[in-house]
Amino acid sequence: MTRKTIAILLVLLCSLSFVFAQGGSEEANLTEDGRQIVTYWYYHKGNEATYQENAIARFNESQDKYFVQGFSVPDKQKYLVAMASDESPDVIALTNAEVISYQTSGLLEDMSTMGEANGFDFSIYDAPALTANSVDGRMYAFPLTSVVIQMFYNIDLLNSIGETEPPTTMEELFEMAEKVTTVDESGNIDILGYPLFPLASARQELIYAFGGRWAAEDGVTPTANCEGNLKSLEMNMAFREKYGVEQVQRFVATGNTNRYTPQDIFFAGKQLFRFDGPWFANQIREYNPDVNFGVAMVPGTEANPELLGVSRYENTSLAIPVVAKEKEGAYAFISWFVTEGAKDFLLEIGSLPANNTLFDDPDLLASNEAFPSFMAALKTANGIEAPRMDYSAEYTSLIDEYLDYVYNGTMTPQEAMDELQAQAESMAK
Amino acid sequence: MDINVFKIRRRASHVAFYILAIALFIVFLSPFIVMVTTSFKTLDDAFTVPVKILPREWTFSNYGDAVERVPYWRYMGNTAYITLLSLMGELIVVPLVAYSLAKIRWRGAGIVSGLLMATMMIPYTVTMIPLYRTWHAFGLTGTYVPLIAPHFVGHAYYIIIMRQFMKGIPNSLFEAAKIDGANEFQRYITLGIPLCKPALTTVGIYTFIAAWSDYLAPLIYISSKDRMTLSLGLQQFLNEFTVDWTLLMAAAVIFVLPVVVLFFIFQRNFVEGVATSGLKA
Amino acid sequence: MKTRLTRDDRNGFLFALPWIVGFLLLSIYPLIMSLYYSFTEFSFISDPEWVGLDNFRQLFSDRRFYKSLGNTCFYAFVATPILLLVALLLALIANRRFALRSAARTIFFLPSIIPMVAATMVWIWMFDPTYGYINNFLALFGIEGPAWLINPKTTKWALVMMGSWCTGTSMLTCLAALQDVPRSYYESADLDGANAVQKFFHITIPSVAHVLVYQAILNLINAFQYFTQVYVITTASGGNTSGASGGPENSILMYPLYLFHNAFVYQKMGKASAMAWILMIIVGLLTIVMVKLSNKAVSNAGAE
Repeated sequence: MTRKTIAILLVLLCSLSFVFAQGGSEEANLTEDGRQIVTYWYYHKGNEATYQENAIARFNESQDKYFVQGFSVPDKQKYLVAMASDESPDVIALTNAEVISYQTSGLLEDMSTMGEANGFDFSIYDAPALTANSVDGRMYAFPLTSVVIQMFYNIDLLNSIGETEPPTTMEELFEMAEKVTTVDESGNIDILGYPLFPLASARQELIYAFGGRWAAEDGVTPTANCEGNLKSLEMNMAFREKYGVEQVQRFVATGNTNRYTPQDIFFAGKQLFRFDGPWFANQIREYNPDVNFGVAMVPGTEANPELLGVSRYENTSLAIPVVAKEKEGAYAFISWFVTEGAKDFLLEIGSLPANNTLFDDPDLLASNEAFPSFMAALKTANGIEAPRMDYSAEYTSLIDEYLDYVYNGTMTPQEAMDELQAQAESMAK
Repeated sequence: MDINVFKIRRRASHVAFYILAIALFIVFLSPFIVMVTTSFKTLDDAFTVPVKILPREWTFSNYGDAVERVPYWRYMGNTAYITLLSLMGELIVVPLVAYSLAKIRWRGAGIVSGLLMATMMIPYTVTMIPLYRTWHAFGLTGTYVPLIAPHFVGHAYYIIIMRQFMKGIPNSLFEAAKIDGANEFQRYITLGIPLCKPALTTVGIYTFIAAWSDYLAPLIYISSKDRMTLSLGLQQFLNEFTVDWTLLMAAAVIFVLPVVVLFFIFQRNFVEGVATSGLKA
Repeated sequence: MKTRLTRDDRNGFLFALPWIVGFLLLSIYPLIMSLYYSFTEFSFISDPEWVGLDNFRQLFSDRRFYKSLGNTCFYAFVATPILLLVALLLALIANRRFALRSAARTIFFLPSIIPMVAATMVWIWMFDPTYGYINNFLALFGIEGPAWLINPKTTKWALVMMGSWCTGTSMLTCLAALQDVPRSYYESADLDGANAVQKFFHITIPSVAHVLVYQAILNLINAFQYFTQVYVITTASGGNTSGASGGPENSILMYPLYLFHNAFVYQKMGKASAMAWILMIIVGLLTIVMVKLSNKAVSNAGAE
């Protein structure tokens, strides 16, 4: 019996592997009709990947010189591996922070030069989009979408505590959050008021609202223990300690598991304030259209009301690796995608444009009930760019670690931020 | 002591033992149960509190969706291809080296045996970066060569298993063949190999499982979507924000199934392999 | 002393040649290069540049280097003994004559052949504070389970639980050793009126001691290379944007994981090589100590 089974297994394996290995061995650079193949890697998945593919299909129809093949590659470590080996994609989608960090290692093609040579109209980008994708005054990627964050709130929950207007300062927000937060008989949080979740917004908007920053204006001097950061964390901890550090962590963990699923805590009516992106409105429509929600700007503080509407500023950008083989085709695709191709893609994916000619586009504004206020925030151009020191990847993961210490009550905000600052400064040397 | 009391106590401890054993069985099987049942649940069903073990309605669509979401059959073909070549490599080289250590009296044998043990101690992290650079220098990153080539020099652990087994074969058999005029290689082919079949099977399944499940090497070396393996493909279900747990579990079942089937066919060889290598090294 | 090479010498060498070549190219050469690299700095695409002791200096002032070393030491010196004990207990159950004996062997061993990635993902789901089996099970007894993979106090214990599930190989080795213990030992102990506990400590443990020590060494070496599980867990947890997470409070940032981050995320290949060599030295010293200790222990046991 044993020998037979081995034989059968081997034969099965053989036939299987030969059937499938054939396709993988030879990749022609030309399509059957003689078009140059351009490979494009993006990190989107699921539905968002489908929207990328739709955009690619539109490009492929629009001309007959190039043929773009798209791949969803969510693990960005793969980008680096591919760029280091001989299999670099011709175009990659990445965030503006990654553009900076890749370019620190000299991995990307100079898009300013390419654009100038091809008569690209750089005026479609406002200052934030230009600087966010530039190193030493040269652009290394063309931004496709912008990300700013605003405050979604559950109107029913707000009304239930006798309020009608969303808060404009963090102090007001804290008060409302306390009123709305409910705890069941065993001490578990049922409804969360303070926007401790998602974690990325807690690290950014919730800090920025107090005037906190992770880096100074120059983008490279760490400012972990600045006053705004400490104030933000103190209020954050005041809330956590009131309802129990463990309980809050558990609630946040559940929120994380369910994020953007039908069980998302906001859709379930268990979250009053949520700092999130414009796509969140699409998600609400898809998963629970009954949620009665409003959108407002991220609050400032009593001392600094002008911080109202403060948010991160990020892009999804398109770049060409220096080791890419099809740079002409890559440029053709990118310059099409950020101009003609952008609108249809943005309509599908529910993201904000980076291209300023689309800021007032009536179709875009009408497509998503949150867009008007997000677009307004985008136009004020007071978004905050991520730190851009050459150790920023390590810095970000250090920030995560020290925020954990604060959230879990292992360290006080002052202790944690001082130590973080010292670590960051030692890396800068 | 009254003999009856003794009997009752014995029986009670017997029952307690059974309860303990069965409880442990449930604990050890629960991850499998989770995996299989979740793969047949709808997304809503997977997110209920308290958890229902069985799906309220059995759905098979997760399997279809899973293989559609990522090119799963292709990954399976890639994985099978890598596994097959790795298997070939180990099965050719391991008995060869083991034979030289167990049945040939030569001066380097002692050194080689010592080095075999020593290499098992070298952490892979030490060789990882230089090997990466070497393969890179030859333009072979992104191909299967870095995944398969190490199997063509023989894994130290497998050589040790094989050597132990060969030592157990009486030398008189080989001497008889020598008198009949067979040279070393003929003796190896006609006597060594056929007599080692059980150990070969053991090495074969170990290699199969190791190559089938390998994660780190594909993670480092494989970048193109066409060449991904199942272990990498499985990770594609882990989104940054949302995890399609039902699809993921369906994909995991497909990934795990060949290994489990293999285990049940060759259960005995596993036990033998572990026992010989673990005890006598 | 020099004698001519015999035919056996030639044949033996030829038979072993593939492994010797592999040893030189895939072990010795990288080992030496890695030592050289640890005094240089380079990224994916650049060439190594000599920086002397900079990498080591950087590491010794890096808090996360110590943190990751500490995490790995926890796994090596706290988790590994626990796992070995679990393996021994499972082996004892599987060794007892009862109707479900062969089922026990299968069930206890099966998990250790499951691909690590798949197993880890299933466990992540099991550990979910709301929908996971573990907390739902605890809830039946009115116990509120922690957020296993979120709370830095429980993450390591979650790894221990996961590890206990995968002790099949050690279990089988212990089992084989148990089966080699002659029944007559137990029978004569019965005649002397020894109870179960006495029998366990005076017969069972000494008879399997050599196997336990051997397993301990192997598991210790493996503990210092513990990677896949934590890599999968940390990449699966959402909310982290840095692309290089070590779990909450970096509580499961194991040494090899931090090494991997340095090499393939931060692109500090030289620093990673330095870490690799430090690891190599630690593992080497530990093994020597363990082997010495075990030789002593086994010879003492033999003398008794």
